[in-house]
Amino acid sequence: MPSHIRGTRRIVMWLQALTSRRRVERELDEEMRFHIDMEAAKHAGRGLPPDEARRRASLAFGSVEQHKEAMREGRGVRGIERAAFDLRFATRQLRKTPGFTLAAVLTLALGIGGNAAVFSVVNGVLLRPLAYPDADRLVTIGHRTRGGDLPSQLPNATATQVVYDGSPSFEAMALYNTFQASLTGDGAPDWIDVVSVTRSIFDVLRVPPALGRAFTEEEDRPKGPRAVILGHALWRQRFGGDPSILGRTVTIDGIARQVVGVMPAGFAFPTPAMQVLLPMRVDRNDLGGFNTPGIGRLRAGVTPEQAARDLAARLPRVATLVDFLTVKTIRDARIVPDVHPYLDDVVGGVRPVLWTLWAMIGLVLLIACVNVASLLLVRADTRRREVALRIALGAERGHLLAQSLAESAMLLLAGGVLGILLAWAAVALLPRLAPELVPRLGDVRIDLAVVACTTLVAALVAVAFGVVPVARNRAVAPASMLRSGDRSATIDRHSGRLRQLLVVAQVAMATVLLVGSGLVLRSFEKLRSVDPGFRAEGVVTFRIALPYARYPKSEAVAQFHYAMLDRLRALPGVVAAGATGKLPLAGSFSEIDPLRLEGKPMPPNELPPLAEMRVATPGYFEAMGIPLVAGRFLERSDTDRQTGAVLVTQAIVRKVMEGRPAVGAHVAHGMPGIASERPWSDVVGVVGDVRGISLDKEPMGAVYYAMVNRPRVDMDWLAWSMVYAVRTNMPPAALIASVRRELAQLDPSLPLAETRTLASVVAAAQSGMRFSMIGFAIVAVIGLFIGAVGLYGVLSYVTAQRTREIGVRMALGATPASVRVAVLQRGVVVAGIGLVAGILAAISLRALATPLLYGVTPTDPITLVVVSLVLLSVGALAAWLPARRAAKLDPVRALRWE
Amino acid sequence: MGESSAEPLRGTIDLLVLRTLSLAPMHGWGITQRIQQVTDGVLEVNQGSLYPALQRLEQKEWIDSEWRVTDNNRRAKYYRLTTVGRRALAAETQSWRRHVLAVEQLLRTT
Repeated sequence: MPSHIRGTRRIVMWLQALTSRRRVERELDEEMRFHIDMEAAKHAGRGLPPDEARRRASLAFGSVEQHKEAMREGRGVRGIERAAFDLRFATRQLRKTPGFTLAAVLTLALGIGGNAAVFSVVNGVLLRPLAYPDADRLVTIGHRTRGGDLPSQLPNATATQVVYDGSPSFEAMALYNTFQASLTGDGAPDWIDVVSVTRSIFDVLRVPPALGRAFTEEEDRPKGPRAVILGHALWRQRFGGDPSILGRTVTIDGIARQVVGVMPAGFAFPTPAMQVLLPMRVDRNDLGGFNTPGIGRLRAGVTPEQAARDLAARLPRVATLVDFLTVKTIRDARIVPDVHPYLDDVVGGVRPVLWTLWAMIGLVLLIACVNVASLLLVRADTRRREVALRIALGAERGHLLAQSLAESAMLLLAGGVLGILLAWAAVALLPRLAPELVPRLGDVRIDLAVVACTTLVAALVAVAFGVVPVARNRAVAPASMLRSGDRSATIDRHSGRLRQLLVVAQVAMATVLLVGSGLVLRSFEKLRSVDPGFRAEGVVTFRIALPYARYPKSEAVAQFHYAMLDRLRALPGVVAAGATGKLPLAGSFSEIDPLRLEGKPMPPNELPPLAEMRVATPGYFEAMGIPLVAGRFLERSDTDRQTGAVLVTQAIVRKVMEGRPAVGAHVAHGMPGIASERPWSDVVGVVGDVRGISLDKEPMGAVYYAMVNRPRVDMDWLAWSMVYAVRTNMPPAALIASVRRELAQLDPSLPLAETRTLASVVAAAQSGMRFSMIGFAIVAVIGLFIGAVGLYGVLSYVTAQRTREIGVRMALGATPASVRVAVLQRGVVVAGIGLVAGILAAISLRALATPLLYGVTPTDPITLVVVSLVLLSVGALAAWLPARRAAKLDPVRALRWE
Repeated sequence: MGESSAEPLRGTIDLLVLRTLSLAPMHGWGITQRIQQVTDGVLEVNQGSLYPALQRLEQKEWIDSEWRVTDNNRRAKYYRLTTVGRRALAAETQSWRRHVLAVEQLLRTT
């Protein structure tokens, strides 16, 4: 017969046996009763009295239970029934020792939950591909230079893109640029995030508009028709998701543009904040502009390194397009194309933080495992007598193993379920903790891969720890064990050493975690004490951008800002008010260009020092609390000067002036002979440096230009969009309300954008470090807690085992105090050994920590000392309860203790 | 239950059961009675091996079972030979005969 049919039948019977266990048992009963009844009837038919007949029948049948048992074995479900029994038994056993159970379950839950949560974040943020087709082929195209500290788009990305276009390594490449603009008409004026793109972006990303079409070649040319593609969110919110939006015009930056498309929901290039796409309209005859990032799609099978080599071969051609670059400059400055996965840019700086956090949480899982192992060992030791007794009574050792495994499985199940719940809660809370800090947080969810991975780890742990105690108890010879009465310390010596080793390991690992989070904490503290160069308290900021269409002349622009500032200064509670192009630390670069000093020859084939190019009004420095070092601040009359007036910062004095007096010198941004060359300006004063890019970066140095009242090459645009800084003693909300009123009176069509306090800008700049600090601190506290539980558990057990010994000592005259000290000492010694091992490990891992730190060395002595103190105190605390218990022992009862 | 009765040899119980069921469907007790009767009480099947054997044969699908009402109006589980079982019985009988012959031969020569 075909074996599979037979197999099916077996499985059906097996399933029946399993699922309808009651019915099968009942039928079995009935069948056997019938048999005995018939047998009895046969005897009765031969004339025996009914009782005797029944007795004989039963006797002949034998033990019904035994037969039934044989049948059950035959059904092949015995294993499962026994497993169910073992699990029930394990649950009872665990319930009998709530302290142990709680400690083990909590430990496992924290270990598993922490890992599931952190791995979910790592997976969602770092590993999962971006939501574009074949997203792994998307790369950022930029350049690296010898210094390495220059923005990676240098030099002149636009020009190089023209040179790179047509490289065989790429399917397509595109340029993009982000900025902000006003959106007017159809309701209140709005301030929106804009990304301008070359039309090839649709080939690079391979995401077409959901509605309408991509930009045409015409629209991407300098004088082509004005077109715009709306982001999904803006389309829904401002235009009610109206599909007839196509063909209508919207006004962005005061220019009417026709809506030609709507991007699909979830399109988040280059960030989720993006609200509209504009064509970049690159002028191939004017290839100035430094800060244009490039993105490309590699051909299948091409690596970023290959692509970079390919581009490097094409790079020298850029010298024919850009005057100040020669082939030699490019070579001397070691300018090389940099091609790296686009995902790296999206993920940005959180990558090292997340990997380190994952490593740390992995360590926590390790601590948790060690902890559960040592708890199980302790438990196994206390059960030795019970096990010996059961073996003596005929229990199968295999079955004992199964029961031990069942207990581990129950612990694991409880810990796992609780852990997944914890992870789920943590992942749900995370976006609230670090909303803007970690990109792609929306992509983070606890997925099956994460659960499977964590469960696998935990299952290995459970099996390992289920077997170990039994393996140890296997060695038990029941007779000697029962005779010895489990009193002697001799049985204990070996396992005692193993347990203490486990505790030392736990303390060591907890030390590593504490040192790590301590260092990050100190970095954060250092970062907070960094002087940004301005005083943030009491300053409210907001942006007012003037649409070019209605303010086409520099004069009108300057006039508007002076009028607005006059109104602000007249408000009650305003101490000082001024404006600039971009706020320091607000996450956006100011324009950066080489800076020349009149009379100082340009070194051949070398890029001159770079300097930020900023515009500022009188009052800005007073409002920000930026100090004047020499000369004078800007004045309103500077706007009317024939030669522009500028302030330079101290870094510029150092880098450019080289000992010459700064005030009275002439400087200019840009390179001679190209479109972005600017005329000379008079330096009228020197001000303090400001950390503009980030708190942990040395200031680059800036030149502050006064607003001008007539067109000047490539400079007047600086003032169209200005950030105001108002130093006030009024509550921010009240001030903003007044500002809104004043603005509405001056020009009701202008949006008041980016209203916030300067302090919140600084806090946001610290948030990266704060996120690391909070994450590491949570992980370290969990590690410390689990380590302490382990230390406590083992010390309690050891103390309990030594009850008789302690009783003897006390009977011989030891005082409670000396007993207490002895137990405490033991705990502190164990913790101390772990501490030393941990600090050595932390020092050897210092390379891992360095990229995350600011202003502290990985072997920061203060951190090490504080961590040591914390650990020893926790160790003492964990030893304190057992010590007190030991000291309170009544010697008489202790001697009788078993 | 006489002195002369004996347990069937190990491994032959399946054959006895199959042979008995080849005559007519029967319940467990009936099978023991039948074997006893036919072998003149020489072979007595122990219940402890009968029921596991029935279960085993059913899992192999050589027999199947159903609950029926007996002549005395009681519910009993009746076993019946399947087609597969009939074929198996033929094979088992063959192999048993060869076995017996071999043993007989051995006994005769020594």
